[in-house]
Amino acid sequence: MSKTPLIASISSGKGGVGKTFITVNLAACLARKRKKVLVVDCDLGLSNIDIMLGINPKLTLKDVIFGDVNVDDVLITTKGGFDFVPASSGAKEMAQLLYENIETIKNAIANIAEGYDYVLLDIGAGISETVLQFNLFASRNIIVLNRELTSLTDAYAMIKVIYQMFGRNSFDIIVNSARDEEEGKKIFNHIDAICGKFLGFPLHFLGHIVYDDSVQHSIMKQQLLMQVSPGSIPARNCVRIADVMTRWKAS
Amino acid sequence: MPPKTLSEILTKNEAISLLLNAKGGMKETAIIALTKNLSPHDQETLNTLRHLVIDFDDDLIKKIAELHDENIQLKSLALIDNLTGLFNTRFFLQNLETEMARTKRTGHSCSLMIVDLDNFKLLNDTIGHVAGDKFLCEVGNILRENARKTDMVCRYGGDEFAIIMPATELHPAIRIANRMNDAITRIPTPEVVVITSSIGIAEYKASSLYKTDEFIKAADSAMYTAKKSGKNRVSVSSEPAGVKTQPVAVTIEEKEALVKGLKKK
Repeated sequence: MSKTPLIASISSGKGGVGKTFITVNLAACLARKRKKVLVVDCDLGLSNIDIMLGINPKLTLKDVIFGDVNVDDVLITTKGGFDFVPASSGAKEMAQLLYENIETIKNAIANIAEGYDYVLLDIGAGISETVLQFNLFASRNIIVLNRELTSLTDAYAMIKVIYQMFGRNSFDIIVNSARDEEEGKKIFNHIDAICGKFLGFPLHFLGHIVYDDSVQHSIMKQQLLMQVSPGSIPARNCVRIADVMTRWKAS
Repeated sequence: MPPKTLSEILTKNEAISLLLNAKGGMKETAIIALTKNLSPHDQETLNTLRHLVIDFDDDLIKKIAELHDENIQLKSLALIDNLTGLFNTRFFLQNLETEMARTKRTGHSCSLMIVDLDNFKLLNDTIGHVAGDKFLCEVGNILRENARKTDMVCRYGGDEFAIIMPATELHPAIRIANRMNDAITRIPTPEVVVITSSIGIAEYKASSLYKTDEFIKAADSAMYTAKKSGKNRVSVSSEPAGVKTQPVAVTIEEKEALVKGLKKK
């Protein structure tokens, strides 16, 4: 029996909020729960999942688009127990893709998605056509934000654009780098209230992730937090978010 | 009732539809097709006159046949481009509007492709207008060959072509455009000038708000994007048809609410 994968996008509008960190660690959590997980680096111009995972892929999505490479050949199985499709960093031609190129990637993902429980798309910053197209491709849209005002406004702008362009009104929010659970909830309640007031729909709180030194430590070591410090508070926060995600139904 | 003359019957417009070929040497094959609502009396009259029509050089029949042919020619002159035999701009505008209306009714997107030749002026200056015109005809043939039966290939001014693609979404349109782009590059040019094409595509969805001229403009600006980004390529209108793409900015009220609320806490 073939499974229907749940494709979720992880975006933030603003860069440097922790999308990639969250994507790989959630993937590892889900993998531990015996889920088959595929992570696709959709930050096509400036990708860096490979750096976060400490790997050096020879072939990337660039070769799928511009070369004669099959997406299967690009696929890497990581130490975290999930599969990974890397993109290439600094490739200028990848930064400005034509609609057709995005279609090629989407088709490639769709072709290998069968058999996975979750496909997580790590999406670049900004609200370019590429970013929007991948959000539309995913059936669930996770938005990451932190306590910075610019992160908040960018996350809101992202939600507003996706809502106005595609009519989506269901978003899952992760508050990253929170001081504690209380602050995480406070930040969520704030953006949720504004969404309700101006756009007319509520947001879903997927969870918060507390910041402590273990996060930076794992990033510097180019390893997963789930492996370096599985007992840390942020690691446990990730597990809780993954728990919520396992209750999602594939659409 | 006295039998009518042939002229009398033939000028009774509402009763007759004619298909004639009674000109010149073909007069023996004159055919008169009449609608069913011709009265039995008229039909009888015509039957008695039929052999006369064929045997005699009937001026009226000749005249009607000539007019008929002229009409066909006039009609085609108005919708067909003289040089390439493709549809002309008038046909294009009429049918684009029809297809957009059909999209609204059926829900199936239609796409519009604008093809512009790169360096065509240079070719014209090099090999002369007559050869240049021949080249344009060749491009017309290539476009027709690579289009599907339902596509309407039109000449849209000098070296620009427009193709209406009914019931076609963006993706298949891109595929066909790439095919055309390749084929045009392969047309042999007599001189060192290499002719390629810049192609722009726009999609009109059932939800689109485009008016006809805006839809054309979208495909046209995609074509210019293809030109500006290096020619010999296909580009797509970056605005999903009819959707406000200028992402609606966060309003001042929203921004204030976002910033203030958080500061309070």
